Amino acid sequence: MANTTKQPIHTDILCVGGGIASLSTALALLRTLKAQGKALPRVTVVEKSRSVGNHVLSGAVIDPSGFKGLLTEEEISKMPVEARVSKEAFHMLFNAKRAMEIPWVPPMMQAHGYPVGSLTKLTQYFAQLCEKEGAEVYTGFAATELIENAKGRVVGVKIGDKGVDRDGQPKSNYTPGETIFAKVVVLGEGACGILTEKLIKSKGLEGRREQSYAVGIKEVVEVPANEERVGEIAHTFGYPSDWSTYGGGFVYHVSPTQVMICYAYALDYARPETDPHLLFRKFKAHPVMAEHIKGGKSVAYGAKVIPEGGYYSVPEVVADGALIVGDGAGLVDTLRIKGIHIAIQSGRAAAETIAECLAKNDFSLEALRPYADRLKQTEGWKQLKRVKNVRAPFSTNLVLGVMSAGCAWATGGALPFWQVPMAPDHEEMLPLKGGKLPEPETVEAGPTSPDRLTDVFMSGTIHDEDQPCHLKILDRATCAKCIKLYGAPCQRFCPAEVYRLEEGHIHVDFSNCLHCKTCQIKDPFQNIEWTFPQGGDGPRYTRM
Amino acid sequence: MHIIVCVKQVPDTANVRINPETNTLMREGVESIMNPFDEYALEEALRLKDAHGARVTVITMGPPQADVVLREAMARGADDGVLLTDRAFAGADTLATSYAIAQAIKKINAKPDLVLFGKQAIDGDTAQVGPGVSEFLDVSLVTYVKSVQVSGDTFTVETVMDEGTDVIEGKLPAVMTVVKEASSPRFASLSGWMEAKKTAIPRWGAKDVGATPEACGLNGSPTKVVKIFAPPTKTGGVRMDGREEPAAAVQAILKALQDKGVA
Amino acid sequence: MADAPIFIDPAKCKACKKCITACPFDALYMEGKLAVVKPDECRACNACVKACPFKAISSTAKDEVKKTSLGDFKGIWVFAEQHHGKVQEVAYELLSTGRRLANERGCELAAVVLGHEVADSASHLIAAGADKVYIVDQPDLAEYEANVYTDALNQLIAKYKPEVILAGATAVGRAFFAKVAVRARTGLTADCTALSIDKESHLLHQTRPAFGGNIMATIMTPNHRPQMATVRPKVFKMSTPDPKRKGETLMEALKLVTAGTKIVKSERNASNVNIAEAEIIVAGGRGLKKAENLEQLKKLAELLGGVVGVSRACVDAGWISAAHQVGQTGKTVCPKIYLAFGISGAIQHLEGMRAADTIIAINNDPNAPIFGIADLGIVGDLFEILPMLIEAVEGKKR
Repeated sequence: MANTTKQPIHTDILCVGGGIASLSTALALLRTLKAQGKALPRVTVVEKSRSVGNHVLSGAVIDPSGFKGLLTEEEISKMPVEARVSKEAFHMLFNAKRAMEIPWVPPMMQAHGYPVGSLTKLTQYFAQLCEKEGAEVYTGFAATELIENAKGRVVGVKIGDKGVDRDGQPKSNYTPGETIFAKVVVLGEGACGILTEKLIKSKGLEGRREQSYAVGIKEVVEVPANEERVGEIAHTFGYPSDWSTYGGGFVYHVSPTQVMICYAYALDYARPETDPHLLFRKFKAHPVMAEHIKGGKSVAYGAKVIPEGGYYSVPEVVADGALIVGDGAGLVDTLRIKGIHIAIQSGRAAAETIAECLAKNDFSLEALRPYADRLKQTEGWKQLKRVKNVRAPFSTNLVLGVMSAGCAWATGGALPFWQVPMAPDHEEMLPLKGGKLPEPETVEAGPTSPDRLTDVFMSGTIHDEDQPCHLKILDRATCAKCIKLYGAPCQRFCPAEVYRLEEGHIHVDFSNCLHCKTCQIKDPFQNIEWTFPQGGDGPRYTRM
Repeated sequence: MHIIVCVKQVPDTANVRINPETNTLMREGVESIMNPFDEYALEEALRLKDAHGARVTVITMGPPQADVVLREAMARGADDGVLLTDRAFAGADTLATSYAIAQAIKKINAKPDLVLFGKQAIDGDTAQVGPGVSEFLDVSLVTYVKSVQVSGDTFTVETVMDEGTDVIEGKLPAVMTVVKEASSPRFASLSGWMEAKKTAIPRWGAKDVGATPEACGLNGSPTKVVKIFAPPTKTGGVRMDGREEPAAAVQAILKALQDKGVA
Repeated sequence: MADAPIFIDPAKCKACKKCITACPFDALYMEGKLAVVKPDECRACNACVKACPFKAISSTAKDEVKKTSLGDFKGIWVFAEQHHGKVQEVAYELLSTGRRLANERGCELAAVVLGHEVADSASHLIAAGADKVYIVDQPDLAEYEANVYTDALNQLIAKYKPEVILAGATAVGRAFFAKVAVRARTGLTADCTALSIDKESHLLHQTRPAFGGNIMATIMTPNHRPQMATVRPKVFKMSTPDPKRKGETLMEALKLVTAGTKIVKSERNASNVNIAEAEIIVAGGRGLKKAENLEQLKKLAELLGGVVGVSRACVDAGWISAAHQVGQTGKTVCPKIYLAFGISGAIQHLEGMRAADTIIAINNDPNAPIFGIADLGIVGDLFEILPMLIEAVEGKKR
């Protein structure tokens, strides 16, 4: 039988989440200390997905400024991101058929020469570099709880149990999760990280404004080989978003046979009948986008939320015993839609701080605080500040949003200088018009327009079905209210068809879950709590 | 007691496809895993270790990166592992593979008590290597094992046959192949992984295990793959409307069954 | 250095990359203007040799020639597996195929029976197509035991030198046949779905699935004998026996090793069956509406000699155990026949059964995705069709 009496594990630096922010922290720390000839601490990274990168999803056109100083020239040249942006276009889509190409790409969106490819693959590459430097990266282990001491200092994490059946009883291979203590915990959980959110709430670390999100829905499409188009990218706004919701899409040609296509839709949308997956399909069907994926076949799918609150929504990034890096701190420039370089920069800033803590053997709150200051010195932070008021006006009106964007660019962020208010995402939903759901729209199915369930299959997501449902509906009575008022919108905002209304009851097919967190964010009654399924479960992204 | 478990790193075949136009394997995005049947074999070994304090050695034959499955086995509780890797082994069919593995087993222990295999590897799907190794070791073979009990040098196993189960008794040493009806494989704990990462895994080539080159790899393989192709894709055949006249539909079904020798 | 099984002539290679595209194993890559092979990955399937328009690639594999001339091996044998004196159906199926192969090859077809009190099986086997029947009828062969059966068959092979031996890929056949092949130092191909004799080389072409059925491979054993293959039950059809056929029966007495193991207890019941190995599956989905309706499926399965499968919906609803679940998160099956009642065919389910040889689907939704892969698709009411089908099958049995 499995050994159930395990001793706690002790490490020096614990990174929760194996994404690019955590790995940058680990890499930067170990390399800095090596260069200084100092003794290396024990650096442990725990990641809930089965393999590194399985839960990583992004565009991605990557601002390479993040790599200099962290990677050698040779390492940069060997990155598994083979394409460089060669041609950019920017389109305004008016409706299902018409569009207009903006004759010049707005300067802040320009990315000529930037690497464009899969963040999943880049993350795997970073993990290899980290392990070479001596970091330990463990996958298939979900950190489910932060452990605090009596003074409220974060001192470690608890790993989730495995081998629990659907009724919560231990199975024959029950393995209780272990406890890891660390001198400092670096939280790199990504957007809407569960432990991060809990920490922010319990310690009052919120930014000036609650974080707001968009859901990004993406496919990799295999197309007939075309060498010339590699590096071609296009961004769009407008259709199929309405004029008061921030939505936009992109298409990237990352290899002769692979095109990445994605639609991001803000989760503060108002109409309860909205179905972001349907919007994604409408987007792909638009002639401008269809041209990019002509003759192709969707082969991979995924979805994830993107933090969009920007500057005003960034929380305090330092707590007693913990640092927050990457998307978990909302470090995404939503105008350029770039956050990877800022994630890397935040990791390096955290690493510098930790190096100093190690030198003084002082990991107290005061010793960790300089991370926040260092973060504010990074280029990424300055970019965030410059566009601090760009996103919010889009929620009022597209025109206003564009004006703000232009304004911000022209004035380097000085204007608009007031903080444009934004309500929390879940409060924005309006009730059904006339108490009824309108007729659902349909989009013709095809090799590049699979239905949601087929898309879910292509995400590779898999969960042990004999385990407790990790998506908790807190109060079933509330469901009845929601069904009446909003028509059970969970069925539509979930990009994975997890929620199904059948005979007045919401069925939860948790094994379809993509871990995107949309449900926890958008449920108008905040009646869904996303908890951790068994470590190793979830999507299996390999080239997202 | 010394138990040797043979494991294999295989592609997650649920995702392996052949491109019907070019007849090439499309392996982008397919991850490597421990052969699922081998997980069950390992679990039986670990249960015996729990019960009797046996030593469990895992062995795999593959390219250098296959050592990951050995580490995973050690993270679950195996004591040590050996990687059999050599260009000379490449292209081996089941005969050449059985030979090489048997040589390696003999080098690990001239008289192991028990050698366990998963019933089959999910890429080759042959189920032949376990029986092949029992030949080369000249040791009893029991296949389709669901559970193993050992008492002294006597074993009692439950096996899954086509229409039911048998209980079989015999004397060790033995080679057994294990099926998925066996006990659920245990998880590797985090501390298990931490220990496993520290353990060195020796690499043995053909010379190290005294395998003659003519009997290894392609040269030692009687079977040769002549062609690889995509299975015919189904695109939907005959469609009938059985709403008005269900009797006609039933006759069509019956005929289809009879054409295939069923009914 | 003949490290790799193929040689690429740098003088002839024109860097057209056709070989790289043709290689199913990703074993070739370009180094500058020359195609290079990765010896570890190359399986000598010679696809690149055929693909190169400049004949720049050639095979270096040395074909070992056995000391005994291959010409000494003659005849096609079918191992006729028996349980308690009754020859299994798969043997008759193989004899039908064996007859065709023997006719193509111009040689004799023989059946081999190992057991106790099995002498009267000879007439049935001859009627099924065998020219000769070898019977070893001894008490020590009464129960199957791997070591004893292997010894018996290998002794017969050494004595009579068949060119080809076929066996059913049953629990028995797959296990000891592999031992026999190794003992004879020859090649064995498991789970063949097609067999034929090559017109020029007279070699047995053996086709089988690999990678869970996602690819098909054709295999030969050119230089070793006998050429051995196993075939799953119900893959080939049994032809009608001809009681007028004449054949020879040879009784053999062999001195055999003692059994290494013994069967202490034997339980036979259908409820333990593993649907992944079943050849006939009668499946139901959400369209069944109630647990009770599974009973009809069970009846039909029993009548056809198959098992019941279900889509995930039925397991989620608690109607039946997960052991019967077919699909991405259940079992992958590759039966000869898959009868789907009330299953819409979401891709998660299709992934578990698309390898089925014949798919018959009954669903009242004409747009159900399952019709996209069904060989016979019936748009109809399963509650009408299923009982009628059961009646019709029962009628045929009488």
